[in-house]
Amino acid sequence: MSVPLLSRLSREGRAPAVGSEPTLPSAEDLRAHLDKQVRIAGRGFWKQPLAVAGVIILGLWLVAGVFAPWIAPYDPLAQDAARFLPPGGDHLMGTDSLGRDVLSRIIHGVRITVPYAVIIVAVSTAIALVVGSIAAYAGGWVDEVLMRITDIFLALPSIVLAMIVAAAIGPGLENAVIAIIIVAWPPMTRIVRSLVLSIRSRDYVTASRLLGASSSRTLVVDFGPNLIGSVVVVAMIEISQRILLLAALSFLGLGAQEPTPEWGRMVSDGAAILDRWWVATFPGLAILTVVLAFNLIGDTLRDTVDPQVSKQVKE
Amino acid sequence: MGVRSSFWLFVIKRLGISVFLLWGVATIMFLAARLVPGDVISVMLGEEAAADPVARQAMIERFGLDRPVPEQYYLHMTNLVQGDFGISMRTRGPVADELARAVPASLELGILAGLISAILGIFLGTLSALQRGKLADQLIRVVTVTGISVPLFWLALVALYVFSFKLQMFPGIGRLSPGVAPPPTATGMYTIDALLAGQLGTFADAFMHLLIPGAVLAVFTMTLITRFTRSAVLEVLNEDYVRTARAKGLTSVRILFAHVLRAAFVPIVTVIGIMFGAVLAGAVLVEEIFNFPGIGQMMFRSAVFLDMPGMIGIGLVVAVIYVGISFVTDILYGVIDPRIRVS
Amino acid sequence: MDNLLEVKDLKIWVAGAARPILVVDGVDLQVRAGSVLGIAGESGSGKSISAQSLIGILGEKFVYEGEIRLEGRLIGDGGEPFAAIRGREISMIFQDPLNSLHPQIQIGKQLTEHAGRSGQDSRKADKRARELLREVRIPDPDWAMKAYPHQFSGGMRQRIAIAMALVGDPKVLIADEPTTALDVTVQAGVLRLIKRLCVERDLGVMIITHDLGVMNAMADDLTVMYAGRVVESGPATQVLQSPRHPYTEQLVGSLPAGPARDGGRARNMRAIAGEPATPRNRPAGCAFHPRCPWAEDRCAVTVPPVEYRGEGRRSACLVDPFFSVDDVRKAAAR
Ligand SMILES: Nc1ncnc2c1ncn2[C@@H]1O[C@H](COP(=O)(O)OP(=O)(O)OP(=O)(O)O)[C@@H](O)[C@H]1O
Ligand code: SF4
Ligand SMILES: [Mg+2]
Repeated sequence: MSVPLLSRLSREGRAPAVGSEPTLPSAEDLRAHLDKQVRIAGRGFWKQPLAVAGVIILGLWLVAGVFAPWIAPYDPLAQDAARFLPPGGDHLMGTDSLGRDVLSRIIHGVRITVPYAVIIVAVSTAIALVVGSIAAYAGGWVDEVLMRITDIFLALPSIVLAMIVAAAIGPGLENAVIAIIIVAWPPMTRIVRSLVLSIRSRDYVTASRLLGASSSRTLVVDFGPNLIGSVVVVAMIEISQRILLLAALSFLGLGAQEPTPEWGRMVSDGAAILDRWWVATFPGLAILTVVLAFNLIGDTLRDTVDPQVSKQVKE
Repeated sequence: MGVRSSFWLFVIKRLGISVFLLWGVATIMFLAARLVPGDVISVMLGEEAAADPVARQAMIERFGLDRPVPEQYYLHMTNLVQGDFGISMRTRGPVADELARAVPASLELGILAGLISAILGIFLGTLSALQRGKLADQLIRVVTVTGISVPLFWLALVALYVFSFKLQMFPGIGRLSPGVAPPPTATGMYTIDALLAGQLGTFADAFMHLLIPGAVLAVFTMTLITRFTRSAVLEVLNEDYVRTARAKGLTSVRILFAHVLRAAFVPIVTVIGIMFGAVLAGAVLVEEIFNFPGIGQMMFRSAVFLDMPGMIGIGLVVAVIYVGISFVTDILYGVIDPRIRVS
Repeated sequence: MDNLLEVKDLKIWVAGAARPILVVDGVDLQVRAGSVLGIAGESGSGKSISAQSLIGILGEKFVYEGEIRLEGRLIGDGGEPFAAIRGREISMIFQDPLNSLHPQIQIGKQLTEHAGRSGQDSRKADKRARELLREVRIPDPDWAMKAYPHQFSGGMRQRIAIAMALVGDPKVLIADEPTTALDVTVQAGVLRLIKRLCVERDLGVMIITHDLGVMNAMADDLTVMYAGRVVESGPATQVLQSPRHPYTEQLVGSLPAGPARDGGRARNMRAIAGEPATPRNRPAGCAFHPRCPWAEDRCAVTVPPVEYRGEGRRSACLVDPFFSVDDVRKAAAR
């Protein structure tokens, strides 16, 4: 007589009651048991609560940004109210050192943070796609030289390099964006290069080469869709780090300048006046939630959508 | 014999790469300084000093600004190699002197942050891997994804406000409380110097001043180490030799410590090395908030003053530390893993 | 003769994307002391999974059910925990000796690390490890104790793995394709070693292999698996000489005559026409019916039970006549 599986499903490792009937487990019980063990694997994007939370948070911010002039209770630049009003009453998040409404400034801040972060990642990814593909495809000394160049850029923490470049070309939001692009392309290039190499080594590309496709055709037609999928996933994760870097440069005074309602700038305004905690706290929370949303989405995409990763997760 | 010589060959090769990287960084610095739109001298000296013809002339001679660019480049490089980082326009003193004071302070803070993040990160990452897909894993994932999302400069403010200002659990800013004299200088790190001098009170005070900034700095790197450890341990758990260890009848505790973590340790060490660099990067944002006089604060203040010589000097020092750490971890990698050591 | 290890109605499920998949379906196995049980079957037929379930080292994705008895005592679920059995009473060695030893731990350490648990003092454990290394014919055991795995060839590493499996003085040794990853030239040596240990130590050996030539030389009993089920079992020589099941018959038929020149790879069992069934899409009825030359309509409906066929032999075929395949051949020739 075999040991009834159900008894161990309910109590791991316990001996079955003597003389009990051998019951076969139903498919349901088994599935419940096994599903519990491999909860994450094989789950779709939309079934993961964290990913959905990310989409909702990001969605709310984007809506707030698009409709900022209508949603924000005050003009973000107007210095109408008293200075340093604590949160509550007419000003939900209080007012800052110039009597501006913190909430309104935060809502308008999305219009700076998200578009600029997208521009940074789009441009640096475009550069990376070109340079990384050339390196992977050309190989040899071209590859060697390009990779050594990226190595040099990676020999400094990105924030330090970005600060030096931003300081050299002069403080300002646009210059900070340029500085970040300069530090963002090398790591991205390395990722693109290794993606291209791994895709290239797969059979179907070899096959289409054997069929006589030219290598530029191979690059565009066969790589295109595969590469873009993976790159989008990486870019989602990139965006979050670039938002942080942009906010940090503004915090350091190298990015957005007064009176721009940029979040990092706003935190630095509140830094010197700790007892008026609301001036710095709320913009910081805004940065945290937007970055968190991008990270939640990017992370889950990497685990579920990216074919190179999901293959390992499934089996 | 062959073992030894091939190991040294590896060390020399790796050393060559490090020197190349530092040369590259110094070159980028040179280009950045020349990138400046407008008058290089004004940028290097600051507007008001640049108006002084004597200072202008000194500057021109020092950097050979009246000579062709290749010659300027040569001067820039030889100055750096000789440890001359120029004059800070902020302090009006040599950048090298200020660096000499700032580096031990940051090192002290960075080591503490590195320790906190390594211990917590390895623990959480291992737990997460062993509990894969279960509640603990999910919770740790929420913690880590929040950890990489939080702006450090803001977290520093919040921590300072909550722990020092509201709860008064920790001393506020600086390296020591007012009235506490610094210990006699040996290493420049106050905690170690205090211990060497037997000043336990000073040690405690210095240590308490390190704790909050250290913990804030540790947040980002801790999450990275957690994630990295998780995947390294998961990978090792799938290895045949772990299955063999199980088949031998070893206890799970023994398998975890003697076999799994031992193997996972190799990749984890490399990432911890890189993380020390990340701690330095975070210091730029955090030190100023705690008024902690390390290279992070120096970098922050140089940036505020647009002090190019200061920034370049710090950038190079950071690069030396960064490159040096990755050199050391690479060598360490070879020492820990007998396969690499021999082949 | 009494069975040392006896497995009845072993079923194993693995977590699938949609539902659990039954990968091993009602397998019976018997291992006798001092003799070798061979398990044969195409890739994916569930050999490794079955073997791993016997010492409880299946991953979390798996659930098993069935009765496993060692010398009559129930082990595993409902009986003695596997943790008390593993390494002490049943040991296992794996296919890939290159990865089955920890790369960063000295051989001596790996051979003695169970010592603390069994209360031996370390010098004794050390001495015993040297003896074991000598027993598996490792030259210079003193040096070997201090060396790392990568300093040995594949064959030597497999010998070390065998020595490691013997540390707890087990009664049963399970070897999962112990020579597949090895150079042809050293395969025979490792197999001879296993056979010798089996006789000298009165070990019950269970050996999994693709290579029927190995079976012929080594195995006393043979169990043939297909798509997670046993299709035929019995004394090895008889099963190989006159198979009763059409699948076994084809396996044997796919053996080329004469010594294998390419290291036995041609003797592997992939040469049968048609796609092997996998547990994920096991055909209804007899899983072998799409490829079976004897198949009748009912084969696609009814699962053939494993039935006794005399002389210690069993076979799972609905159409199996009461005479052997040889007899059919002879009859056809006449
Ligand atoms: N980790 C796993 N996850 C999901 N399914 C698995 C896993 N391991 C094995 N299986 C399934 O179990 C079945 C039996 O696998 P097993 O490894 O026992 O086959 P095998 O007979 O040993 O094959 P081989 O000769 O290739 O070693 C396979 O068909 C496979 O689909
Ligand atoms: S039962 Fe039918 S299909 Fe299966 S082996 Fe026998 S004859 Fe072939
Ligand atoms: Mg197998």
